[in-house]
Amino acid sequence: MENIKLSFEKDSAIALKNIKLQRALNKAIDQFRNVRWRAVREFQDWEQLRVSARRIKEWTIDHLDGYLEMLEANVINAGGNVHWASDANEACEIILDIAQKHKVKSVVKSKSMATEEIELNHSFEGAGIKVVETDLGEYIIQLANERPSHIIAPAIHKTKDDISKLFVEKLNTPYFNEPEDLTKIAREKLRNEFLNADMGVSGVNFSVAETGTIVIVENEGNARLTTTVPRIHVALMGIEKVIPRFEDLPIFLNILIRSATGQKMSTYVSLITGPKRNSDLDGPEEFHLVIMDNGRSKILSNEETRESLYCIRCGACLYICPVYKKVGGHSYGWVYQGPIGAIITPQLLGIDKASDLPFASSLCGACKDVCPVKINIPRVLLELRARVINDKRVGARFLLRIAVKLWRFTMENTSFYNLALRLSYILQKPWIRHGRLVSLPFPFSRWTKKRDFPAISKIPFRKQWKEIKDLEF
Amino acid sequence: MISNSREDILKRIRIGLHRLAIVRGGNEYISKASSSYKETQQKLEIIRRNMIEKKSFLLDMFMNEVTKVNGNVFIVKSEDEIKHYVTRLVEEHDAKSLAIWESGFLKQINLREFLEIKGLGFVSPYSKEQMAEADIGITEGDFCIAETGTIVLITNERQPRSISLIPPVHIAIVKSDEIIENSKDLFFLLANTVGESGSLKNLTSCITFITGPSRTGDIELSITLGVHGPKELHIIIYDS
Ligand code: SF4
Repeated sequence: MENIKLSFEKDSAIALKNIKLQRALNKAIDQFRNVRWRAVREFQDWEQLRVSARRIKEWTIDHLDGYLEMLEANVINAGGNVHWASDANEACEIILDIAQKHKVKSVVKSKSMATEEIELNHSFEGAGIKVVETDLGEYIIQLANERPSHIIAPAIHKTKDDISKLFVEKLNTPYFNEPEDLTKIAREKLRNEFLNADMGVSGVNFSVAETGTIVIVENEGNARLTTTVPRIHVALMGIEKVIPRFEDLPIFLNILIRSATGQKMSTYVSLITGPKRNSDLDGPEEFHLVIMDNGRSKILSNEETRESLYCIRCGACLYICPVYKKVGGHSYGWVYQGPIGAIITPQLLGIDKASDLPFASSLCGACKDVCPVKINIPRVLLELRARVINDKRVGARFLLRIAVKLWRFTMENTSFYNLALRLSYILQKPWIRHGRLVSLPFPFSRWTKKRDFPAISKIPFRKQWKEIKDLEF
Repeated sequence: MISNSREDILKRIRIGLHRLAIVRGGNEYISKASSSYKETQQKLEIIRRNMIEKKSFLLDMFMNEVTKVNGNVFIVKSEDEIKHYVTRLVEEHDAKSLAIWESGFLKQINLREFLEIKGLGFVSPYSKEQMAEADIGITEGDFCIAETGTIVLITNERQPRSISLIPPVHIAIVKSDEIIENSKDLFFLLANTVGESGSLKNLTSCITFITGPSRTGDIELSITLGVHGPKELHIIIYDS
């Protein structure tokens, strides 16, 4: 993880040229937006729900140490084990250690961003332990040896043809092109993995301090199998996942599920408290909860960015983001994508490793409006941008300052502003293609390398406005 | 290897929050939010009364929602009808081997004995290999949520989790007076009914919410049923 250096600029340029990806993204995102919109509209007190969720999150993070201790005590009380991991390495070590102590040969995993974050699969493979992703999307991604491109729908960038070919190549199946058949193949293959696995690793959507319960939300049933069939269940959670009370759960289930998939309720919600009891007929004999920091306490210590920890990973900001819609998940280079990726990745990995990301936004604010816990993502982005600039070389900072000064002078002087506009109107001519400015010379090339800009109009807006105003009102 | 991570993490949080010592926001918040004993009892009373008085309304809503998520619902008026309907499903699926909960109501109507006489075999959830062979799993819902079409199953020694999970067909028998309007009321009820199995004071290892059959949209967003869990969910509502 140490030597990661992400390049949003380079990766997004590649994504923009990938027509297949553009088509897949358009289709998926339009569909998601509609369904989610309906699920939210249907709920009478959606605004009230957001406010409550936000308040509970604020309260919990402000008292996080106490709630984590309470959670720990209650998990132990229910017969489970609790481990604490300061960083990704320690989390991997802890989980590997549990596996090795029990001579585990094969592991099944249900979808979990936290385990992606610590690259747990590498650790298992390095130790000669087989590990299989069981969420259908994740399974496809694992076969293709890629990274998920969306936190809720990991294989959103793949077509069924891609997947059919992948199955032919990796699983030696005949070529089927129907989702129905492909799903059936995966079911059969994965059933065997479940029956043979000694250990199941899951994530955690929420954990309840008051009862020591972990909550897992899913549609496929693979998380239920992961947490029921193998002898040992290990769950990994970031420190921010805890909520105080059992009774807070309906609030969080509602905002998470409606925002994430537009369902009223997901197919399965499991509330797991400890391992199987002695008299239970099935379920894991051992339950381990790993509570991981990995940079989160640093986020918490800065009041400007603390709210990044309120995120419940619903993915709504991804669907709504115009930048994500164009560049897709892989451009963000790491496990978290879209607006939430743009704020969380630089904070978890270090700002120097992902300095492009805070700029991967037009600051339109759609993410803030959609976020069920009301995270002010644009504000956090600005804060992070300021940090990037402050880290830059003196020369660059100097140039930036001059540019801003010039901008300000122009904006404050009407006659100079008008002059500048007229001048630009004349000078722009050689670069206009279909009414847009493309490939301008330096320094404007910094802008047009990635995107175009509408050509400056002959009649200034002020004049146009006068006419429009008279017409309409 | 002795790790101090626990203390380190808690300390980093404390410093991050500019505090010197731990503040147990926990209990304070919990007691502030929960109402007095009397208020709680009153609220419980209202929820229970609603379940009875609004029964037919809730029943309609529940059935409607289950159908929307690709589940099948069927209302029956007598125990015989339950047996009849289960038999029909068994025959339709040409099922040979079943798994069933040994729970209160299912015992009371002797469903297992009835099916054994018909020559059907039963497997035990003790063995996952056996469970993998079962054609149909039969359970009993502890609660239903009308607003979402959800059945709630509480794991305990007579109610194992894999029966609603591993077989490709899941039949759940529920009673019409177990339908609660929404998840908020359900959690309130669970959190405040002392001593009952699954309640907060006595949480069992697992509580499972099931809303329709197992589904995925991971391949081009086309909804496909039965990816890991049951492909079919049949809910028989006993409305005596
Ligand atoms: S930032 Fe908000 S909208 Fe985005 S994933 Fe997190 S909770 Fe959802």
